[in-house]
Amino acid sequence: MSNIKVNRERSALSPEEMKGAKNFDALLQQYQAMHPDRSGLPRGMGRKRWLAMGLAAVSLTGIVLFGWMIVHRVHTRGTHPLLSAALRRGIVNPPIPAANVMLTAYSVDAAQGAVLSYPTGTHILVPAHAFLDEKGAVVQGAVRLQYREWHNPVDIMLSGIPMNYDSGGQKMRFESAGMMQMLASQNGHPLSVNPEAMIQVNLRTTDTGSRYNLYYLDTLSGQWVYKQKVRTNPGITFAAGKQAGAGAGDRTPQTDGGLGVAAFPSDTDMGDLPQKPVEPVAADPSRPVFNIAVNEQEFPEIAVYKNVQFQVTADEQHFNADYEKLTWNNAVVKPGTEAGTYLVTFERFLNQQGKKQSITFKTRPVFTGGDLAAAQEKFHQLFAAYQEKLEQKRAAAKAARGKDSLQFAQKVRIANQLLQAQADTLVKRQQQFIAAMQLQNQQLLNRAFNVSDSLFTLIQVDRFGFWNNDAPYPFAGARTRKASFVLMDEEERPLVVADLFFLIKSKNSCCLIHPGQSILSSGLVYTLNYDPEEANLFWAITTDFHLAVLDPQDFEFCMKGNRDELVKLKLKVSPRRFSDATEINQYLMDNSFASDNEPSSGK
Amino acid sequence: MISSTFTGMSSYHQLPAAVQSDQDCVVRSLEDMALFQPLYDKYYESILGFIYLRVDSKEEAFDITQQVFLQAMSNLRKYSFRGLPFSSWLYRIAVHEIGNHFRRNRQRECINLEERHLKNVADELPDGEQDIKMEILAGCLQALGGKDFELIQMRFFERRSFAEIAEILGLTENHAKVKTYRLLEKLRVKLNRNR
Repeated sequence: MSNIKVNRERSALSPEEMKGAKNFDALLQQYQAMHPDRSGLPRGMGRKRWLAMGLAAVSLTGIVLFGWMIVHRVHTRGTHPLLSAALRRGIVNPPIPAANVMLTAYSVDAAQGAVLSYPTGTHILVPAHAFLDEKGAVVQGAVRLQYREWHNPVDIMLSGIPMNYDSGGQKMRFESAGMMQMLASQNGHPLSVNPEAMIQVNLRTTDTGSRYNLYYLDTLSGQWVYKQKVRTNPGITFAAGKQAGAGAGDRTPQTDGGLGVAAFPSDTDMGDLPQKPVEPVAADPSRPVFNIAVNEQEFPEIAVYKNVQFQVTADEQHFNADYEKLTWNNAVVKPGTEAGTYLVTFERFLNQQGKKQSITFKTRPVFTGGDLAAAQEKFHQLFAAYQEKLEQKRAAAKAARGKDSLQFAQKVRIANQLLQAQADTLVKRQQQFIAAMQLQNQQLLNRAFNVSDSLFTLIQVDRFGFWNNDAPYPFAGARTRKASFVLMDEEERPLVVADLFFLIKSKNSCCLIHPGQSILSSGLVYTLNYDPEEANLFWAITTDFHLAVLDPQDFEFCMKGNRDELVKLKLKVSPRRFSDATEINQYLMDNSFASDNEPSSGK
Repeated sequence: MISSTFTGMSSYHQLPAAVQSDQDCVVRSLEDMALFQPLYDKYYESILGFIYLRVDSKEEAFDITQQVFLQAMSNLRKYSFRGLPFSSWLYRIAVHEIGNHFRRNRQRECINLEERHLKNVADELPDGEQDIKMEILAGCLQALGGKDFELIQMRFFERRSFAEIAEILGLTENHAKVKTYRLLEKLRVKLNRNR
């Protein structure tokens, strides 16, 4: 362990440091950013999941073969591995979680309450102080309320919510006129309803009548609990309430209206400035001075003065006093790199062939004697004029800048507004599209299952969870017959399914059917009571997420002449797997009602 | 696969009701990850403390802790409830993330020793051998090896049960016990050489 560092008696983490580092909101945001489409199925599991499911199917098939080798021995429910998964699972089990209706989230100010709208037309009236925490105290602040509904048989199937009901020992199935689930939490902690301020849901319903009751699902026992007869209302009016928008569950895109940085006028850009006059300086008597006539046009700042002389600067080290004794033929003046200095180059010819000597010194313009006073007076005049011009320039530049900056800010504001409007339009279109799709799906299914769609059930929610507006109907009746069957695919091979659902076209119902107590070489045996006068059909979801359908005509055909014998129901299995609710809807509709020749049905 | 049925197995350091409460929270979180917060609040400090004991700086400990919970949330569907506390799974993830951290950053691994930890180890030595100098003990612990030191750290610094150590390190309980006592013997031999 020579490459291991050892720390001795390091300082411990203080409670404040621990608390400061804790940030669930940031963690949740990070999680949501990494998994924006997590809707039930694990991401990236694709091939592995199908491989696992394939292996499970192979294993199950192997167990079926083993059962066949035992020569038709009957196994009890408690020991045989080929029992329906629903028997072992909990109460609510969506068969394809990704296709289930998603919870819509709202943020509600608990102290104020809110009126919430759901895309189906349902309204949720949340009064003030409607929430209690785990200790029973009234909750203040923002509450996360989540809500969803199921209305049609496909949604009900995909919800995994049980639709069987035990009415005093009599087994019934539910025909639903709308189901909903509501949850509330604050900072991840579940809340309950304040009995003194109960939430009212005006649930859009697909049917009405005295046979409909309101039920609440007890998720511990898995039983529906009768609450009351439903109250329906064809129209909803509310007192003006506070509208709350969707909260964290909404996918409204965020816009920042960024435009990028436009070029903005510089503060120092004032255009051409007036020439600053050179301040006259007295000559230093210890150093030599030169008299040089300068071009007025080239050096106007010097030409304004009279009798300007040039003196070598104190830091000039190349000057030699002997140079004064020489006769120079020419002198050239240039502005120096330092303000107020000039470079003077002296030249003299050394021979007739043109050989020259030149030396350059840094100099300053200076004045001596009375020339200095006159120059200083001149300087003051010039400088005053210069200052005035400078101020005028600055004022003009400032005015120009102000106008430009105002225009720039306006441009930014307008651009931001345009971007925001585009984003809002996009969101609105998305929401309209989703609502239209939902409505279209709903209307499609409503037409298929003979239900209306313009009523509302009033539900007073005294607890969060699953609520159902249902009309129970018995398993067995005067016309019902008992059927025992095994499932096959179209090639008459045993079909193993994860879930089997039984539907009656005239009822908005979709019930999970559990296998019976026996298994044969041909598969699990199911039994159920059915009304031959109804259009009965089956939907199934296989263990690898294929859909399987037996339409009413095929069921009727299978049951003809086989009343007391084991029937083989041949389901049509989809060629591909499904995980999207819309596609599932479409496939089941396309394959469930192929013919118009259906038995007459009545409610 | 998650089963919501709690069979009533006893679990170390937590009552069955607490373990079931964690499991209920896991099930709820699968529907809505915002409901994972109670688990985060409950285990944040213990995971942070666990990690801080194994890394060089507080900043590294904060970063890795956040990463542990992010991994837990991202892989919650793979979590399999076996009647043990949810924290065991978090510790496993933490061990993994700490290893990843050192590999990614090509840093030297580090161990953090305190006087009280060294005394815990010394107390495990046979009578007559406990008056070892702490500096010698620290040197021998450093020389043990990464995985071996981890076992010593969990058992004698953090006072974890063998069941918990086994769950975190992916061993059987017996294996964890045997390994620990062999390590103590190995340590005793080193100490005797250095006296």
